[in-house]
Amino acid sequence: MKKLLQFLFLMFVIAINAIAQDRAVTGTVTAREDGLPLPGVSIRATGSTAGTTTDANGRFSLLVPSGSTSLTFSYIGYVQQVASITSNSVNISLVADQTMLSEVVVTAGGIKRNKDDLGYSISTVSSEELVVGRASNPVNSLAGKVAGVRVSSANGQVGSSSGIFIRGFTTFTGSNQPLFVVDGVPIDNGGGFNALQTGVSNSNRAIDLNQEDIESMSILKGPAAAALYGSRAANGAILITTKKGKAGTKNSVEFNSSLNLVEVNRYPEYQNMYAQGTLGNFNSGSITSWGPEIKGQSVTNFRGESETLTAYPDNVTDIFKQGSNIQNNLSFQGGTDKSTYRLSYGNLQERGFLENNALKRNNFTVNATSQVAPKFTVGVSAQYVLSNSERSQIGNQLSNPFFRAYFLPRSFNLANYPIQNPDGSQVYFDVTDNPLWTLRNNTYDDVVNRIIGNASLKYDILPWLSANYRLGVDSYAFNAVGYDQIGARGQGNTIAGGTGGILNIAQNSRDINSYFQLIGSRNLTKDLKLDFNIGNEIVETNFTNTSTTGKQLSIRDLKNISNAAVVTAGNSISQSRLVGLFGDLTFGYKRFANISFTGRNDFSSTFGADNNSYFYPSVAGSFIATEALPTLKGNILSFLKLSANYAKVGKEAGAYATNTFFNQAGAADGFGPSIVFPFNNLNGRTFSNLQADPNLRPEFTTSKEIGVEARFLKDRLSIEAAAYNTLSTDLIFAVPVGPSTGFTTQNKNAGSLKQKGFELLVSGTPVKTQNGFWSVSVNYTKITPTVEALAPGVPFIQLGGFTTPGTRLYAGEPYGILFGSVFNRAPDGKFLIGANGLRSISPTTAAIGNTNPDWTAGVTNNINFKGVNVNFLLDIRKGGDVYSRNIGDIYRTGVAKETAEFPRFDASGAVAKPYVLDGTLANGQPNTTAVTAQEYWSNIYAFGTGESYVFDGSWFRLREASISYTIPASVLQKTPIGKLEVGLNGRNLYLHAPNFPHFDPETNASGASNSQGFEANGLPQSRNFGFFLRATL
Amino acid sequence: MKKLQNIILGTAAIVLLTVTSCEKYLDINTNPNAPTSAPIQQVLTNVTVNVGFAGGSDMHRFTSLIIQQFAGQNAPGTQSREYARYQIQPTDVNNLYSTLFATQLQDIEYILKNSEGSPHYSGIAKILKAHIYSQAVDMWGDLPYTEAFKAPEINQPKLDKAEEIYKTIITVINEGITEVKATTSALSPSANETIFKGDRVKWEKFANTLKLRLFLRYSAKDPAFAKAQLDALIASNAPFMTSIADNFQMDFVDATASQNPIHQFENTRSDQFFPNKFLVDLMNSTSDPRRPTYFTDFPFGSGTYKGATPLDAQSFAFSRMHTYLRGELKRPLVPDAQGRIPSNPANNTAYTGAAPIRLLTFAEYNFIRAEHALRYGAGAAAAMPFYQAGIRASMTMAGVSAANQDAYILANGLLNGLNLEANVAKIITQKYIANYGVALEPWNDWRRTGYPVLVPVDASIAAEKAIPRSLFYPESEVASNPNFIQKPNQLVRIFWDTRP
Repeated sequence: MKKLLQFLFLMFVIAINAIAQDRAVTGTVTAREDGLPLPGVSIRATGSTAGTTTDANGRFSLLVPSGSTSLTFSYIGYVQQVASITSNSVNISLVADQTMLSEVVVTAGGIKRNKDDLGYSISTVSSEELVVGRASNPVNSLAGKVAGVRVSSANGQVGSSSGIFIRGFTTFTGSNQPLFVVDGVPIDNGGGFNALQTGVSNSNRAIDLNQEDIESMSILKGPAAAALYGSRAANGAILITTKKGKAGTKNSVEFNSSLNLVEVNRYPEYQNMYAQGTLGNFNSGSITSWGPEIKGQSVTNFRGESETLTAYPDNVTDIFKQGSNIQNNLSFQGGTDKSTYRLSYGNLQERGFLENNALKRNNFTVNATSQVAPKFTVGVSAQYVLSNSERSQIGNQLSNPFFRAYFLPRSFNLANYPIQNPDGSQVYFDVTDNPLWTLRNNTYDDVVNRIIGNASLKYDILPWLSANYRLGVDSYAFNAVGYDQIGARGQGNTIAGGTGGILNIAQNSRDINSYFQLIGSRNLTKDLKLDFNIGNEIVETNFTNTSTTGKQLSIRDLKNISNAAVVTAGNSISQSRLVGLFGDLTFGYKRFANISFTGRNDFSSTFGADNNSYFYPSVAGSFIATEALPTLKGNILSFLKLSANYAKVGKEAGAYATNTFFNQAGAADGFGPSIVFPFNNLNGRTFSNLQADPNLRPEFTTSKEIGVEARFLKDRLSIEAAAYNTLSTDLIFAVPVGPSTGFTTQNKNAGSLKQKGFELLVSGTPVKTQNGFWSVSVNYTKITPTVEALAPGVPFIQLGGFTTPGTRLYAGEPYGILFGSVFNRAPDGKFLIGANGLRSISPTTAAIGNTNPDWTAGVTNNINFKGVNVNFLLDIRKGGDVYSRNIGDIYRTGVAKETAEFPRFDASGAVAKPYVLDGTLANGQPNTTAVTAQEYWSNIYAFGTGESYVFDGSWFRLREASISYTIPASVLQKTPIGKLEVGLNGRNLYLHAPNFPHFDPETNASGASNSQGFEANGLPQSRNFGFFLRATL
Repeated sequence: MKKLQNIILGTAAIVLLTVTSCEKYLDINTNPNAPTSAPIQQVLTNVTVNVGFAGGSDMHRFTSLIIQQFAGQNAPGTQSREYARYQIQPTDVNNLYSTLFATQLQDIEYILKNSEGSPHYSGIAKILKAHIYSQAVDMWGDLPYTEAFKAPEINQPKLDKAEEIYKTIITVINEGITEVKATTSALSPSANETIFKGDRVKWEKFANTLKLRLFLRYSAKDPAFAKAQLDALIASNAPFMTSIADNFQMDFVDATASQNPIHQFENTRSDQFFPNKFLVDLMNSTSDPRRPTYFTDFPFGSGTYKGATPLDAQSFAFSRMHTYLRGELKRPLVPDAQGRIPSNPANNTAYTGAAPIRLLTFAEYNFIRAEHALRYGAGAAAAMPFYQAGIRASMTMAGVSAANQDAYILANGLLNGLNLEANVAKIITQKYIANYGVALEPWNDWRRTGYPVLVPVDASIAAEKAIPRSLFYPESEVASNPNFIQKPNQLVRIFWDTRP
């Protein structure tokens, strides 16, 4: 009734206005943020029916009835604006409406749909949000921005990998990384895993993507959203839509540039009172700083020379240097009614905080579409990437520059001595490589040549039905040269035992994806609409790896395999194919109820013929209460949606997992000694320790999710919440068996993994005016992954780390438990203290930490005022244990500030005993024996003591921030520049880790791996800050 | 509407075609990288190389540290230091156990199943199986035997009594001897068998000598059995080792990743593993002429030798292992100003690394015979020639000149102890010195006889109340096989270890 009244009133007003006299008003509408003209903006003379829309150049002309004194400009995605008519020309710029959730999202199969209709969770991250921090790795740019997404960076070395987990874990030891899809075609994001005892920090291949080419990232959370991508998207998918030319826009040129400085974001705090040595005595060969007080006394250094004992507060920080990150991008784009194009070139040059650590990346991208016949559109999207990277050794090995450098004796200064002798051999007091020597001499360079592209055809069979075909390829050649200098002491790239080594790796990866889809949309009745998408997918993956290792070099720095006296080579080929048939039927009723059914059948080459076909379905429904019952809608509540879904997804095995093989023989004991075959010109074969199961079946993950989305106060405030649980069963993994079976593991379907998750997104716009706005968005994630069962009789499996300590999956426990040695306890539960006043290690290992955060949250703030835009992201993590060898190291060696909290010597000059360990003696009495600082710290943090090396990894950080200013279009009017934006930006600017001393808890020894929260002599994280500009011609 | 029909039909046709050609398209899961069967010749190469490697790896480190031939050094917490104070945890033994079972014994099972018509292969495989099982039993005790290597049918094998396994492996050795002596064999090993290079006479000698070793193990538990078995074996005219050329040892070569693992460890884990003060002082007390190849002198060039103890602060001011374990010197070592030999590439690569890993030597054979003669035969007089032959064999391996050997024998070569026990002590002490670099056997002898008399590491650091009598079961087996019950400590004894 109310509506009818409104309508009648409107008609009446129009009738009156129509009588009055008109006048012509013209003008141009541009976007505030980039100064570009906005086509299609709807303009209405206020209080009349007179209206028009802007043309391709943002221009309009309107006959305004004389009663109207103002114009209302409205455009999807922009704040509606009213401008008074003061002359015959009205030029106006519209402000993008940040509160307006991107209504249209890209869903599986590249199909754009209204987000309100979906029964599952999708989040979108726009181009502007991605580039705030100017990170080199696009994965890092997602950190903290999306509920349900956890990003884990290995370390801050340029080119290092970052793992990304969407809604936790669905499998034990297989990949839990999501599928990356660029313009509808999956791409490879492998390669981010790091070995623990050898080699450099590796890159995950998504680092090849240039964020400046990305229009948006659509995060498909969970199996329901990603059902159509099948097996590979059991962990969700990230759909990347690249920037394209827009139909009907004029040609434009965009240039943007940024310069950032790169440095270490956190250094340990050191004591600077006590020198190298032990037991209070100076020792020039000692790796610890339990020596005498530094008083300028004269000592004999490790070279036998006399020198004055001095503290060097900056001896560790001096190993690092200032890095830089320079990014330049140039693009040309435009479009006619029938075709669009975009051509771009991006160049990134980053130098890290260590010598010989850099990433240079060039991206050439082209996108074009053309309607070649009235119903026929063809498109191509392609990019060529050329990337070069230099990185240094990491991990538990003597060539890692930071294997022991974080606890460089406080009285030792690298700069005081040469790093090498004239013959090139090292000068150093310790058995490790000299940190500067290894950075300069043990090198690693890789080159990636990559082509990602697809060709697509679209034929509109009927107005409501189209056939699409898309063929995509992701092909790259990866070539790496690792060089271990003659005389290197660590495992390095080649484990050459000091003889010098060269490692040549050549990898070729080729993934081909073919999609045929019939996409239709039709009203079945007046109120019932059907959308469908049926099709097939054919995936073929090929990967070849050839690695050649040469040892016993004779010429320094000749990085050619001919320099090696002993050469061994190996190669491997992996190929798999998958054919999937899928269908998605979505019924929409009266714009308020939607239900989707999907089904997919996969045929995978990785299973035997009896098990290689498997089907899995999903159903998702949504109900928009405010549309169904308009009375719900009011000034408070503007939108309410309820959704629910159920999905199941099957996952294939790795290639060649159904047979047991004979491997090339070899021997190794985990301490470095090894025999590599051929041995003495003899080859050997050994039966694999992994027994395969010829009857392997797919593993399945089922998920159930309910969601609610509500918007209030005319969409100024929005709340989205989702709760879900997933259950993964029949998981394929290497089940440990006692070696007395002849095997150490058996590949089979076993075990189950259960997760509960909750996500919340609250967005609001506390301030919104014509001059600007302030929007805040808070995302919150809580995931509880539980290993329900492994295999019968198997209480745990190893995930990563060392034999001990490491990370494990324990049946009945959360996913990813840290385990390691623990101290003996007295019957009263306190530490058992020996007669010497110290703790002792128990012979059995135990769980010592849970690597899963209790919850994570991100807070994005966006403030826009008169062309000034401030954007900052707070990244909060509560809980999540981290095993940190670095922290243990700086304690046990007496370099950390706390280790000098009490004077180490008493008045007489004797070594003081200021500590009494809390605990119980064997006789049940409390301990009273005083011990020295050295005894105290090197007992509690004795090397490899799991229990005390575990710290709570909670953090609060200013992850990203930028402040930018868009020069008003009026200022630029006389210049060829259409838009100019300049600003300052930064990443990892502030860190507060309340329970994690001295280092950044964001670190992971294994890189992009299921094993999280484990650090073994890790490199620090980086911070960057600088300025940028973006210009459009 | 017709159009729609066509579309549906067309799509159905595409789907059908896809499905029918699918099976062939998907049939690509044959691994191009590794075969599902392998020639037994190459599998045997893996076994013999790994048997040698294991003898110079964890097994040698655990046992030589326990028995004080070596001392752990470097920063507190370094594994060798931990092992030396008996902190050898269940996870520490995983790797060794897996190597023995899942690599060596598993491959032997494959050879045994695939050597029909080739008794020379099955014979060698059986002798090796007995050798490996004896090592495993001597370290851990009860282990799976009858139900082992039957996965996936049996994934949790039950354990057999150590004593039963000992009995069984004697039978296995006997079968092995018969088979290596077979007159015809379709395949016969040659250089691909890296221990005796296919010399089957040597295999027979080793097999018999191994039986001597195993029978002597009963000296405390069942002397009558030991005597009867040894007497019978010796009387049978079975061939035994006759020179150091018959040593059961694996020769490594001077090439990266082909070198002796003891030497490799010295390079990859510098300054962690030094000759023990106990052994060095024992040899110092007789000015033992084996010292110049066993150890480097300290200070360098002084002609004196200094061992390390687990209590020493971090340092490398000690004698290091030398050419006997690391291979010949290609160029002189370069000491620092304090006469220490820094572990640097120049010094590390000065050695060839081609020293053998010795597993059962002609010297040990002689000491076994000496002990047999002493305990069960004509006594000290009959034992002495074997005793001296044992010392000479050891010295020959250590490159000691004949004149120096004579002088040493003259001064130290008499079995003139006051009683049997004193002479056993002499024999075992010499055996202990001779078995420098031989994994496990010195510990076996100490557990069996109590010699040489050792003082356990200081209680302030010791992780056990006494010197260990066995190793913990590996965590890998305990965690996956409920038939295994972890030992309360490492003082649990092996069945033959019954001395008071």
